[in-house]
Amino acid sequence: MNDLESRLSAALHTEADELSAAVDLPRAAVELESRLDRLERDRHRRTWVIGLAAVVAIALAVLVGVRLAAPHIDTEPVSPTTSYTSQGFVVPFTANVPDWAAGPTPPVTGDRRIVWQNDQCWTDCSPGQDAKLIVLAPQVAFGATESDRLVIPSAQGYLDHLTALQDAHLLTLSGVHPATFAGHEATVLDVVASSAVPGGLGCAGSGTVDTAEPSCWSFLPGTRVHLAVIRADTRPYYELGSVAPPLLVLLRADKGNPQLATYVADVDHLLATVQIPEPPAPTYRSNSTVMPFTLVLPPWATRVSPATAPSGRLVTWEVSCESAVASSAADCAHPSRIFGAMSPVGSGPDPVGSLPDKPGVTIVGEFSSQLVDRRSAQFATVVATHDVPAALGCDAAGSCPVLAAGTTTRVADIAEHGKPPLIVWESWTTGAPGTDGLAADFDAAVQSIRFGT
Amino acid sequence: MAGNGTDAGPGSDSFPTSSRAAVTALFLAHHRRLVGLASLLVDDHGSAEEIVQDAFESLYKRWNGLRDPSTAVAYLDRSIVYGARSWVRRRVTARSFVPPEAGVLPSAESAIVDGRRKEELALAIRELPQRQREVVVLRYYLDLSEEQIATWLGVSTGSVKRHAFRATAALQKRMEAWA
Repeated sequence: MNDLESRLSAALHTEADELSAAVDLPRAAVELESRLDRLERDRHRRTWVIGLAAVVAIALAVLVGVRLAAPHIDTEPVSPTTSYTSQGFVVPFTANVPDWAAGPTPPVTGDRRIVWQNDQCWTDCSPGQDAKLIVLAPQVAFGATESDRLVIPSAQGYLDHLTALQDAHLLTLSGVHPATFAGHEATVLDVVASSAVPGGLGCAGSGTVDTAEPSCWSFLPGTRVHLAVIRADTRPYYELGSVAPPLLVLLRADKGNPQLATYVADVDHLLATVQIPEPPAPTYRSNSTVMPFTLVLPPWATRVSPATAPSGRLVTWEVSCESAVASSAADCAHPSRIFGAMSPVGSGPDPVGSLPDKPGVTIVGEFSSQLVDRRSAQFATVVATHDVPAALGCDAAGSCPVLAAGTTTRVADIAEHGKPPLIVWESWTTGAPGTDGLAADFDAAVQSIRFGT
Repeated sequence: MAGNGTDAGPGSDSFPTSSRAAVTALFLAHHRRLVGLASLLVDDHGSAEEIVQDAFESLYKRWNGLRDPSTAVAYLDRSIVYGARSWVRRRVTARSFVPPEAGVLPSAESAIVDGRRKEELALAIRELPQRQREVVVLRYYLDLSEEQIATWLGVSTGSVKRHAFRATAALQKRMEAWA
């Protein structure tokens, strides 16, 4: 223990001694006795009520001829539910959420996790009563140690991760069986931990160190996890080239929770009611009367709703890292990006050709020309070292996309004599991981453009 | 007060006589220490005493469920931590630092310099964010390991380390400022 730690320990013990010195022990003991007497009276009353109820039940059973050895009903009744629709979650869904979790305290939400808690536990959770209902789209999970970090590749990879933890005698898996929820294959199982596995359940973020809730979820001794591993596509916008990691729906509750069986039945009921809408079609159809067109979007943009400017000449698909991935810029390890198409106003002279003349812009590689739907298109890649306003023209007076400092932009200027040009571009954080294939995806999207349809 | 449970009133047959006696014995042995622990986690003495009463009441309810009665003290410690957290949650919207009640701490005039430093350090601990404060109290008052704290608080060991690091860094800074 270093000097600071020694001082801390001494200060805490001194203060605790001083604070408790004023305790009136006899008065406190009398209060405890009073509380225990009340408890015993309540228990006594309950015993009588239960006994009476048992007598009545037996009498009724005899009257209607019900045999006591009738088949055992092993399905717990489910709690009342409330319909829930996800907001901003990476896999949109609706489901019936049990009322013990659904209200009145709202869930903790994020783009890759939704957490409901036994409502009593938001304010006053006694030991043994904790119960959390979690929908998680994990990106990583941790093994026996925090250095044992698994980037979750698929549902099967996640199940292999659980099996490995069982082989390491950290978890016991049981009741493993296949199922189908909302048309997606799934595996359902129960997990009991013999010791804590921090981050073992999975993490919404992709951090390497922080395994703290609510971003990261752990297996804890003394708890039971009832888990569905659903093969739904939860890939984030920046990793669409990889295999889809799974969607997890789970209950983590204290093993001693008297409501545990009901809670498990509630989760099964939630799973039976879950609905996952089909992802939007990758083809975009412009509503613009200036230059109607269709195109097949780059894969990441299919996860984003388009924003159309009031002018009707500009449409963009945009993801900012801070809003889509992390809660703060400091945690933002993935690139923001924007894809846009604009039919600029005015007769700006060749916006792409004039890019080299603009301060703060560096051309990467060569200009190239291609045909897009039988029209001439000039392609270029530029890096902006300063904000460059109106670099590509404006869709209306005072409304001009900016090439932001620190971004790389691939741009195509599609023109035909006598018709307004169409500028298509995509910008991303220069040098950010996962951006290597963006230029090729962009070119493919541009080549898919069809005018006048 | 009833120390052996013989005058426990109606219904005492539903609890083993020994459970009441055992809980009472634990109360006498640990009440003062537990009030000290609770006081380190919440900002007013009355609430600290209430949390301790709740913990013993909860222990009594669950006595028959305890696999090993020797774990009762740990159960009480943990109940205090959970109880304090619930208290803080209930007050979180209006929470502000409330100095300890007059007369509980020695007056500044009577304190020697070293004692004053200790007092200032204790006050600085009270001003930490609640989770950091919990980690500091569990680590340096109850002498729990980081793994134990993680289990108690339902977080990862990494999270405990992070809170402990931030807390000690903040306290170190305060101490340097006093130097």
